[in-house]
Amino acid sequence: MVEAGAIGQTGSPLIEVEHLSKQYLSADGRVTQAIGDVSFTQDAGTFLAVVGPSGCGKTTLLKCLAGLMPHTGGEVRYSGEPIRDVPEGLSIVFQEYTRSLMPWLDVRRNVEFPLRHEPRPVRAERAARALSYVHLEGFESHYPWQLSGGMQQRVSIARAIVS
Amino acid sequence: MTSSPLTERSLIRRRSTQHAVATSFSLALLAVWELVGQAGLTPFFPPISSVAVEVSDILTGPQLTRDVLPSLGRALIGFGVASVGGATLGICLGYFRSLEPWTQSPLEFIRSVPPPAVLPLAVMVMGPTYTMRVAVIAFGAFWPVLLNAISGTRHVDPMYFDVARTWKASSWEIIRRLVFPAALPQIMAGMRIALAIALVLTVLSEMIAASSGLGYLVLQSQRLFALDRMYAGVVMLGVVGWLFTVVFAQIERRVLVWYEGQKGLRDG
Repeated sequence: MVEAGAIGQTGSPLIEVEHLSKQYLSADGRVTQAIGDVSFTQDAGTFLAVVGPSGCGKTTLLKCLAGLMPHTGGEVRYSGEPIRDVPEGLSIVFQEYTRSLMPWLDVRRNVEFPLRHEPRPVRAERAARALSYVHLEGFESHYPWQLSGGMQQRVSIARAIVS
Repeated sequence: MTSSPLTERSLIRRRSTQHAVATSFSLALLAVWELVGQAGLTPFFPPISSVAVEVSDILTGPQLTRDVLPSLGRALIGFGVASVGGATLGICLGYFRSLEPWTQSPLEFIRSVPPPAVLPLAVMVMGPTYTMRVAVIAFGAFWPVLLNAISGTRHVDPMYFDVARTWKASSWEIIRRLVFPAALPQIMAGMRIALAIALVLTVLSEMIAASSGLGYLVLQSQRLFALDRMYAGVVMLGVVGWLFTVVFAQIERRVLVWYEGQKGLRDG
């Protein structure tokens, strides 16, 4: 999921995808075509939902858009810049919330992770705000594995919006 | 499954009965030892009571600072060096996989050498010193920590690396904030094995070119046929090993609260 609006105040659209394709090489040497040929543009401040049956490449598409996975053809641009790594200002709410939250950190520390270079009062204040945004006040010192799946996903959202 | 208060109470009662039976069994074993010793059938089994007297003599006499405490010190320092070194090198080797082809064969060979085999070499090179014994202990205790740290690091969920990239974490931050805590349960499992090895090597290293320590005390007492004192040394080593295990288990539980909690939730 992409948090739109933080970037892309220039003239060009926020995201431009041109003839994006992605092939995997599996262990036995066979080639899997995960994404065939995808093109679209997305303006700042708008929402986009990608829908499809399981295994059709939605996660692969998002990982390519986030710069977490190199694509094998075409181009992805953020505010006109081709992406190489995860772009500045992009936040990701991972699908696998049970695996992307760190089980050794409590909820507050998980949410504070993106702010680790900020001074402590700033971290605390912004984490508290993010947690109240997802209605998780009072769960700051719980561990993720003590929460329900939905609550874990909300922690993950709080971590994405905290920066 | 919900259990009624009745079955829960009977469970507690059964557990305390078990505890009582286990305790009386241990006491019975000690009583047998005492009786056999008192009977004086063989000089090799002095009664446990005279061993106990010897233990208290050692703990209140000059041997406490000459033999007992130095042994504990060597064991703990060797264990500490092995733990820090093994964890550090193991995380590096697990994380920077390009090092593997260079390090694999030498490490495989060196770790196959039984640690006592390097003792004569250590005595020759470093002399019969405190540092030499600590070095031998650290050498033996190093391997389980190293191997567990390598494997723990390799099995860190790759998902965390995506998370780290999203927030622009540096290599150092990834190691310190993700790899180290994620691999810690396995590192501590290696440390538990290392602790037992450290104690074995403490005793052994004090039996060669030594003039102090619990290992020295046991060997020297045997040579002088002071069997009460020899048994006292053996008993104290047993108690020390047991204490190490108990204390380490407590520390492990504290440090890995999150891991135990998560596992408990998943398994039960």
